Amino acid sequence: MWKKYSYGYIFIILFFVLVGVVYAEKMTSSNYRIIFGTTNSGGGNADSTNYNLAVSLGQVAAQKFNSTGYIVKAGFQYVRTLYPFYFSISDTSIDLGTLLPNSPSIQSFTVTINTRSQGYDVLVREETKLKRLFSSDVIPDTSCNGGVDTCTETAAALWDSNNAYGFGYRVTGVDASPDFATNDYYRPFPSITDNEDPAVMITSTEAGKNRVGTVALKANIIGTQAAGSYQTVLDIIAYPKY
Amino acid sequence: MHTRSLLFAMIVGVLLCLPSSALAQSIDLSVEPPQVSILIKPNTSLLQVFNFYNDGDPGVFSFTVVSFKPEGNTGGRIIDESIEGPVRFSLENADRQLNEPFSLNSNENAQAVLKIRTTPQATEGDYYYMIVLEAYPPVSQQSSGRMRARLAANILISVSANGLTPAKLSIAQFQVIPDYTLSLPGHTVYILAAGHPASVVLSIANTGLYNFSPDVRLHVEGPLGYDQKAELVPVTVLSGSQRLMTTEERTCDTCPLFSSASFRTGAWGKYRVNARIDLEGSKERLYGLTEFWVLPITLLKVIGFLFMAGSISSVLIWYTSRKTHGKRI
Repeated sequence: MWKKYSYGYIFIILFFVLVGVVYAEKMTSSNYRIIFGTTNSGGGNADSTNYNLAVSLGQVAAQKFNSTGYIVKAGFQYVRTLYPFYFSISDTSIDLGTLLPNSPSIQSFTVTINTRSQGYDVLVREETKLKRLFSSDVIPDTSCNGGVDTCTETAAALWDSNNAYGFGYRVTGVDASPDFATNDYYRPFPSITDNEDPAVMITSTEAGKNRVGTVALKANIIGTQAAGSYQTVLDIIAYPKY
Repeated sequence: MHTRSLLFAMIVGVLLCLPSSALAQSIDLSVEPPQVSILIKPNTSLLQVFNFYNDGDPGVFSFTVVSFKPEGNTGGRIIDESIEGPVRFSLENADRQLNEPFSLNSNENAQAVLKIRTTPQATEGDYYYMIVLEAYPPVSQQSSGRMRARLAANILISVSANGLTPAKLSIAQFQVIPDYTLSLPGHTVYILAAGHPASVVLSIANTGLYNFSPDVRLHVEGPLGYDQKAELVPVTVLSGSQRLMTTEERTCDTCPLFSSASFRTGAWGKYRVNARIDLEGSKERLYGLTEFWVLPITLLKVIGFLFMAGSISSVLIWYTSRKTHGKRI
């Protein structure tokens, strides 16, 4: 009786031991193989993962290229919708109001995109830190709550403490960068004066119409901050993905 | 008395109307075409027209051209604010120059007639640029963030003396995103729990000199005649970069963000995913194959638990009865 069931037990135990030990969502590139063309080409040489394809122009295109010296393909190869790449900002001057110490000011605007192509990016950076008019006083870029909640230009973190000072932003919306997914997660702006690259704040790899992202600017000042009007220019660039 | 009432009503009317005209200044811009791909010989020039439409408020704008390089595998880029490479740009408009400000009213079209010229010594290969319409930021005396909005269209230039653009493509990654992996000697088995969608990742690498837009079709076959197909968007794979190929819209809300396509799985058993990659202008094709298993993981866990419980109980019963039997003897 024991022998009768022993194979079943061994199989089940082995299965769970093997599967249980290595379970992970690890992605490797070892599980594919490339088979070179056999139709229309008589096969190919499977010498490596690189594959040289002889690409030639069609007859009409070749004639045009030889006579004019160029060929232009406008738009995208794969187009199902017929609207241009569109970008809007609801308000180009965001008034942060009278800034009071330990009392954050949060003001928002929206960014809307229509794209028929392979998605889009919206990047942002600031010209300078928030700077007092006719002065060199600045409100520093936020580092969020600090400690384990320290944010960077490309990674948002929690900023809900009224004792954490600075200037930053967060984005909400279907295409907002995933690090903003949690409430009260902010980032500082990359700065042109610090030679920092612009950061992607809204992105998608899909075509879409009326994709809206809401950008909230937040400023919180320390009690010793010099009085006056502080300003910066935010450089926002939108482009279709290629 | 009548005149005074009329005057008062007019003043009130004007005061009520005035605030409604003080709306926030907005930017509404669009561009057509959003991208051009140009194959050009060295020492050649051409004109390309871009139409920018201003549906927002009047403002001051300018045209600029900047270079970029591909970054990541989802069509990202690193922008270089200067113009790199052997391509020269100028505007042929009578009234506009690159980097020179001009005013644009609401519902007005700003046409950029861009002259593109390659130098005689231009090296064969790809060069990537953007034409940018820049909206100047408004003036403010308040504590504020003011926006400089920029809208760009892509200009992908391939320089070739004879019109031939050899491709050097490879599949950088092709597999299903598994729930479990089972490592066996020389082979890895990818396992999905029954009922979970199969999310496939297909990434193509371009190590050649020129960009390409491959046509990719996925074909999934499984048990009991399971047969599904998906056509991926022929995005451009720029020279020296990788690109994740995707469907036009996400086919599954719960699937990983960066996957190429997702398929509902059916019966338990082994599935095969075939990728067929075609290039415009080439007779040859690239193929890829990956496999995975769909198994009733929850059911197997329950059965396994019952077997384990049963076997432990059996051993305990056997041990207890043996002990009791031994005492009787």
